[in-house]
Amino acid sequence: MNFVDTQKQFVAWLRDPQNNPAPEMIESRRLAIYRRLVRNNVASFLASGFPVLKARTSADVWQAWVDNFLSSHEAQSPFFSDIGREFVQFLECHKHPDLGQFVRELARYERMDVDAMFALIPAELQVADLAQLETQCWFVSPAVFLDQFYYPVTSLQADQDEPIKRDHPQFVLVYRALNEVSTDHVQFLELTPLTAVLIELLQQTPGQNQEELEVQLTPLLPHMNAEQLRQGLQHILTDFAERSVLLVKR
Amino acid sequence: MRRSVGVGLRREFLSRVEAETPAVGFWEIAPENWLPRGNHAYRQLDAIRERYPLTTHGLSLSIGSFDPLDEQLVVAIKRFLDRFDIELYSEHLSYCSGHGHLYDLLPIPFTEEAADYVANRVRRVQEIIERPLVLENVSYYAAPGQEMPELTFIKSVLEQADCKLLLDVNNVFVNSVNHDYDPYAFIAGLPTERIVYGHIAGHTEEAPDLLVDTHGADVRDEVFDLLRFAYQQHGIFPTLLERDFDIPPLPTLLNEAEHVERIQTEIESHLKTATQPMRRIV
Repeated sequence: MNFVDTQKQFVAWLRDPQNNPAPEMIESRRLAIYRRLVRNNVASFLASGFPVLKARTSADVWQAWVDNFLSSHEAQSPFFSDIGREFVQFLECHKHPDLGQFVRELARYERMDVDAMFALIPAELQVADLAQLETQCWFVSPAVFLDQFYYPVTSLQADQDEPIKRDHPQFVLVYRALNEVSTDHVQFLELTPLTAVLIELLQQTPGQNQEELEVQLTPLLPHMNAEQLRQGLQHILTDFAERSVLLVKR
Repeated sequence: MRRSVGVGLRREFLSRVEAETPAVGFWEIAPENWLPRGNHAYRQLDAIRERYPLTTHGLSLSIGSFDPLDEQLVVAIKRFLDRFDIELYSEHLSYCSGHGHLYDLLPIPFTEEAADYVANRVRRVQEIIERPLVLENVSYYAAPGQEMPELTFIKSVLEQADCKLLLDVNNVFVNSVNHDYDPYAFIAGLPTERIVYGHIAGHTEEAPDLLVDTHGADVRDEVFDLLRFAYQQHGIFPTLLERDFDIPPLPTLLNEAEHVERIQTEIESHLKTATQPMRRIV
């Protein structure tokens, strides 16, 4: 066997020892160390990355997800802190009887927290001067994450069973403010569809000013007149600038 | 920095280091644990770097894997090294991925073909990072596909790739027990001119003939003895104390680091009296 085949056999066994042959001529207690190291390491990252989801899931089911993650997911990120993101991707496409939309949404929400915490905001972005609101070109902070959820993931009670699914999704924005010295200072906001659209417009085309945003939003809001829209937009921009959800370039 | 003792920098005691600035020769960090960690991490690292030299010990290069070399990661590491003005980049002579990452160190089959393959990849990494790659002899619990001795394999990679060696004396000790060989002969057989960096750590005993390199215990006396022997054989090299689990309070770690320093002092004074020429490292 060439060394690549040796590696492939070993890796296949490590990922899924139930369904793959162990490397030959090697003591099982030695192989077991590798299986244990790999499995425990990934399991501990997932446990710390998804405390709410894990607490709401029976130990057997949780272990089954961890094992399926190892056996079927090809993790692309070299960063240990991205194992949680890899897990979210795995949950999105994995089929398991105990794995429904609620689990996927909760996992996504818990991951947004970590993403916001560790996002790197480049030095060229800074908090806007509120006196110049109308002339600023806006950028969504890289420490802002937007998603929508049918389940009330932001307000779960620990002992609550699976909550009721809403008819319409709720937009949730998770962010870390600029200049926040402590890394555990991540906050969330529930957004109206309009505000969510504003964030998406700016994520797609960064650097737009208030007027450009007005032009884009007008057809989406036929019931509002120009003055109402301008005032509404100014209000949102002020609020987002104060929270450093929206930033400007130096 | 030839005579120097470092400690692995952990977030658990980072704020203490910032506040107390203890006397440590250098701190070692894993670039993969700092690269994706945002503004706060960079500010902390800048503050440390102002006061201390830093070395790096990567986790996910997976130099021996059949998965393609992640050049994007290597480029990111190169930028990171430049950004924090770090000269030394070390990694494991190992692999940690196969059809995706597994986030743990696996044993490269000790074969000629594998040595050639690894050496090629090392050369590519060195091209990108514009520094020598310093590879560590890893601990292993099984050697699937082994066709040559571990020592021959390591020497072959170092020679062909023209790279450097991080000598981890704890790994030598662990492997010598697990695979029943003489750790002193192993160390004596390593090429002196390639050794630029050292690691020392604790391990745990799973069975009398099976040790696990956990970095979760104090350094054993036998391992300090091996380090002393390595210095006698190869000259003093900067050495790092690793501790990744059951991390004791910082003063306890610093005590262990001082033990390494005493060994360096002892060897140095011995070398001076013997008037042997001293080797330049790093």
